Amino acid sequence: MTSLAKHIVAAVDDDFRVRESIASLVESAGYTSLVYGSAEEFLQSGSLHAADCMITDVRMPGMDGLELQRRVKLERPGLAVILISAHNDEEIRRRALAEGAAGFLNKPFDAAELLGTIELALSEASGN
Amino acid sequence: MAAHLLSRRKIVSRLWRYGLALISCAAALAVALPNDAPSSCFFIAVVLSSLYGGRGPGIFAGVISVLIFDYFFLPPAHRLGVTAASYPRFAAFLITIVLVEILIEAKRRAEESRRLIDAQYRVIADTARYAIVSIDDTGRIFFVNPAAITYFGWAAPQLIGQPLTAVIPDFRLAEPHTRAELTARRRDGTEFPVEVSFGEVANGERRSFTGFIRDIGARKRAEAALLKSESYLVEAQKLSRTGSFGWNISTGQLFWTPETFRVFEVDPAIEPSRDIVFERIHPDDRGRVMEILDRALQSGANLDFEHRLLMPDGSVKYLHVLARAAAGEYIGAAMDITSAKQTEEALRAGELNFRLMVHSIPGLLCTNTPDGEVEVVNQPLLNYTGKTLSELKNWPAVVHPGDLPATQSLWAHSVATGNPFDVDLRIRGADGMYRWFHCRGLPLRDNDGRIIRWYNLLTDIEDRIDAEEALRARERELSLIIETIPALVWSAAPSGELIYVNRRVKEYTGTTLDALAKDQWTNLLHPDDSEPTIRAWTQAVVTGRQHEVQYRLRRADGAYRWFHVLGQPLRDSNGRVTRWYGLLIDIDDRKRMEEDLRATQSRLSRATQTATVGELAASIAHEINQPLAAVVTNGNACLRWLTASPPNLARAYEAAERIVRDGKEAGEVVRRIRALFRRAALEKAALDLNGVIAEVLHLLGGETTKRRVTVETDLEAALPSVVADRVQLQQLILNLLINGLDAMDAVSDRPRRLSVRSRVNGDNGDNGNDTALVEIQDSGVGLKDPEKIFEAFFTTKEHGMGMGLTICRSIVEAHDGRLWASPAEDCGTIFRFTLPLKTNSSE
Repeated sequence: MTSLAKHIVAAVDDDFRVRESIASLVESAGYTSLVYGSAEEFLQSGSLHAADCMITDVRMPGMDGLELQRRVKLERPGLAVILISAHNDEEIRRRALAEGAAGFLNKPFDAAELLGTIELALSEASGN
Repeated sequence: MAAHLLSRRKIVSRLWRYGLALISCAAALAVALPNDAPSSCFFIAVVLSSLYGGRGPGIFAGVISVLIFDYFFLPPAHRLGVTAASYPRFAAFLITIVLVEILIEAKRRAEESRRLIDAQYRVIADTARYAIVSIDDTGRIFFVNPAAITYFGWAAPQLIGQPLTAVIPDFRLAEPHTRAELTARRRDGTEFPVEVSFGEVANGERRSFTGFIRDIGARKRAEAALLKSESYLVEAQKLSRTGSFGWNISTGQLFWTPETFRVFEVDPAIEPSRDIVFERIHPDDRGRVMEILDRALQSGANLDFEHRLLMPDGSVKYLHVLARAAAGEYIGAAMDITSAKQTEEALRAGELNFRLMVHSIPGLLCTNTPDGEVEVVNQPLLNYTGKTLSELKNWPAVVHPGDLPATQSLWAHSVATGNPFDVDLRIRGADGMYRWFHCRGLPLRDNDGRIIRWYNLLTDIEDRIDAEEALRARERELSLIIETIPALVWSAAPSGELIYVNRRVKEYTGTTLDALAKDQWTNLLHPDDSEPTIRAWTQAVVTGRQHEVQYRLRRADGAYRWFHVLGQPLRDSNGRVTRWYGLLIDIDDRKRMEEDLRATQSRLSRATQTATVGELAASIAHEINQPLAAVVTNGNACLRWLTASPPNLARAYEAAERIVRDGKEAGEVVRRIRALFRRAALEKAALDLNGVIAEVLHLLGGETTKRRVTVETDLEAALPSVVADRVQLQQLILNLLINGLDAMDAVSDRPRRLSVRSRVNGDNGDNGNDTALVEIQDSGVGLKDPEKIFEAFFTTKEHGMGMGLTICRSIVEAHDGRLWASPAEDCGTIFRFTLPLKTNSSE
């Protein structure tokens, strides 16, 4: 179901180390990656409409991941959003999934799990 | 002189003949006088004179005889003149004399004529190149000419009297002429073809035959040769597709040989005509051909031109017409040059292709003579070397001196043996820089296998060599990375058998690859982890899915450490696993950290608030999980790049570098946190108070972000050291900061601001010494009773136990300092504590 053109995966995390590692990982799986240091930066970049999937950290200075998800869903309800968090917070997980997140992973996350979640989210998006 | 002699002989002969006539007449008179029988005597005299003296002496004798007869025997006697009575006698005598004269003259003339003819025939017979033979009616030879003798090889006497069939066995006489081609036989038995032509010679009763016998061997041979050459010509025309033609200019009549008909594809039964020719000429060429012919007809020039024919089946032929003008006609040849044209076209196309290839080839081309001399080079080679062709004849001048001996010896070997030439060498470019080239030379041979020319193609391999060098360097680098990476790297066969471990693995386990593979690395697993680990690995090997587990591995000294283990399969193009690559990331510090946290939590829960420690634990988890997430993710990415097809070493290298960097960072975080919670006796030492504040603030970074609190610091740069226990000081500042954060949780109508200041406090020491003053101010809800909060079990929090500030005050007091709280000017609370500064005496 995946198209031949490369899918674009956007990653938002205030920690550059995490951003870099996610970019490398998704590119190794054949996606194109776009990384941003904050939710505001991502929203201003204009790449919201280009992305096929968005990965965002939950806790960030300024707008947090949950708020970003809400903003994104207003513009693009179908965009797959995956949240990653360094805090094992059941409450936030529940809320994120209730608001339509395609996945919620705790750091350090399983790379196969992240890629599997992206693939599943993309195939569901293209199937719709 | 001869003419003179001839005329003298003639005069003598004439004198003699006239003398004879005179004597004859005198003798006749002498005989006639006594016998009185004059007529007979004088007849005899006239006959003799005429017969032997000729016409002149005959007439002369006749006139004298008449005069004597009249004078002596007719009356009147002895006197000239005739009486009437004697007239009959005189007349009879005169007529008889005249008749005799005439008859004798006729006879003489006939004989003379016959003699002449005989002589002529003899000359003819003697000089004829053909044999002349006369035979009688029985076929026997009675005359042969010299040619016959030559023909048959027999002498005349041997031939005379023989039957002609002796030399021409098949000869038969026929009436009235015999003409035939027969075979003759020579004396030596050899035979030759002859044409025999005999005619009858009528000779009264006796019949004879005379004829020519002609040797026609040469003619026969010529005929045979002509016949042969004609067939050769026809065959040659056929083979060369060349037809001959004749064209009569005035009548317009055309003559074609069979091949011409074939070339024009015209039925040989049809009379060729100009119309037929023009019907066949290609429509596009008709005008041109017409023009050429008109011009040629006017000037009488020879023809030499090419044109096309359009055949009924639509095919096109090329014709080359050559003709010579001669005696009112053109004689020439029409050559079908279609295949030559096609070959020419193909050659032209081939030549064009070759040129295109030579100039567009991404390499330098050079041809050499069989002796190895440079012959021709292409433009790219001239451009690259910046040399002319003549300069390149001395090609060793542009070869790198280091490569020259080997190149020259290989080239000499190839030239001598004809073996292909194959060498890598550096050639100097126009810019003076050398580049690597691969030179491949092949000989072009003729049909006899002799080398005509060498073709040498030089391909620039500088980039390839660079790339190979870079790849080798990258491989060396990567293997160095793998060997030195702060993680344990392993590789396994598709069956799961361990086939590689890096140095770290060997150092950590204190054993070798062989031992690990043979004695089973699973023996080094912690007994509690062994079974699930083996099960997970077995499952990964069977399913080919990524392997990710955590287990404890025994170190060389017997201690166990926790590892996060990643295994990634490398697959071939068919999707089969060809190898496993894996990383072991040491997470023991993190694991212990978690345990420490749990221990700390339980220890502190007795005295401080559970919720606070829980929040703190979350913040700390964030601090450590960020770099760990990066390390693990980079580890996965690194393996994925390594096992990609083809492996992307550059990306793998980047990921590995990040592992090193973030691993150090994670270690640093762990070290800081562990230091924070290390349980130890009160150890006072000179400390940088600002440093401790910064450390704690750093730890709380996640927490302040989460709570949307702005942290402001105003730290005295020249603050001297304090003497304190680091861990207790950290706990003190941490507690006060969290307390401030908690106080602002309910604030939503103003900025949540946490300010931390440090100062040297000059007049607040009990013993008069200067102290360090730290102020922590929040914009929270504020305090009703600033002193009550330091009492045990007092709390403003829902889940609090009311022990935090009590512990804080006891810590400060244990360091000879003071801790107190007061309301801030606008809102919130300021906590202040003092600590004595380090003095010389306190050392």
